[in-house]
Amino acid sequence: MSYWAAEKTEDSLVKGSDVIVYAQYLGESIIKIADKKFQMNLGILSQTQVLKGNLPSALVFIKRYNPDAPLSSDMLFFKPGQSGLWFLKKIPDSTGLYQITHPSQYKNISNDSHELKLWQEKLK
Amino acid sequence: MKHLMIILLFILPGISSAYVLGPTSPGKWGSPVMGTGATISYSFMPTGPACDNGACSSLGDFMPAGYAAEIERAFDAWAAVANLTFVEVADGGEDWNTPGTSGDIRFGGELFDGSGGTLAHGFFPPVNGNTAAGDIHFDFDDNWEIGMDGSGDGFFDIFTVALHEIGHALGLGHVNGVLAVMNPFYAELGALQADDIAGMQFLYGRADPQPPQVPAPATLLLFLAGMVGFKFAQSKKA
Repeated sequence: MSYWAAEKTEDSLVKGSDVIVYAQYLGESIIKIADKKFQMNLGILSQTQVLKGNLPSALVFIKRYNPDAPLSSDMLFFKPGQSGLWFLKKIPDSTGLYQITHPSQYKNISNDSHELKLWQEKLK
Repeated sequence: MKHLMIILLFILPGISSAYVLGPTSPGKWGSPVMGTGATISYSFMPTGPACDNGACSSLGDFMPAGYAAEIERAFDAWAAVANLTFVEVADGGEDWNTPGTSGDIRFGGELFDGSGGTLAHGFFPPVNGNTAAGDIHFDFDDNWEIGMDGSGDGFFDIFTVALHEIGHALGLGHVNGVLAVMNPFYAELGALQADDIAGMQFLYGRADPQPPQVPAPATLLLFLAGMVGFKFAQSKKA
């Protein structure tokens, strides 16, 4: 969260997304790599529909914030169980890791909503 | 009809309260008890101290003269509706989020993402980092102006953005689906909306929490009326 100049248009959302999925947010977990001083907080999505892009599995990983960092209004917060349409951008030089940095990149809609059907039509 | 009124009395407050609280706990300044007031200090950072994303800049480096008055106006707007007192203090120039900083809410500028996109961010109230709680950073690269001349010209009104970010610094999150200053996207509303006010009053109580005092002559009148009533009751018994 933050204060953003404007919502993203549908076209810019589609253009700016590497994958678009209908998915449920499962939660987040810190991944540590042994012997290396590396750790990352990963959010885990369970996708049930891919509307754009290719995904090798039902799970999608998104980069989350350092859990020790102070919480500010430009952070986007999700609750486990939250389902909707996710417009994800791949993190450069990563393998299968995505990010969401703008509130327009998540649409809180249900699986059988008219809005989802419109997006399915648009992205056919 | 009577039943309908009773039902509405229960439903209406729920409809009007869409506000969202921030993610920190207790998520407010002063006493952790919801609905209690607070006195909060604020300061303007100089250029140079470290920020969360590089070096902080003084707002005067990239905003027009008069920016401080606009921020004070935003504080006044919140203080007019909730039990809040704001006091300006001199900033000590410490790095962001280091122990011993001067103001509770420190204003500075930093680089975010170029023009447009993210305009500013606010850190939520304690407990939140060392001293980061409440701090507000504006995007150095955005175009700032004083006054609302309509959205979409690439310039952003300082009062509008300050009003929103102070809302975060005091404990409110973003709200969708109702018209509010705390919507996530810039809109020149000009004043706090009902949902913003409800959220802030939930955190800090109303601007004037004192119950109305009964004026002295009225107290005397009540006492005399009581005495007359008492005498009347006694005479009826007799």
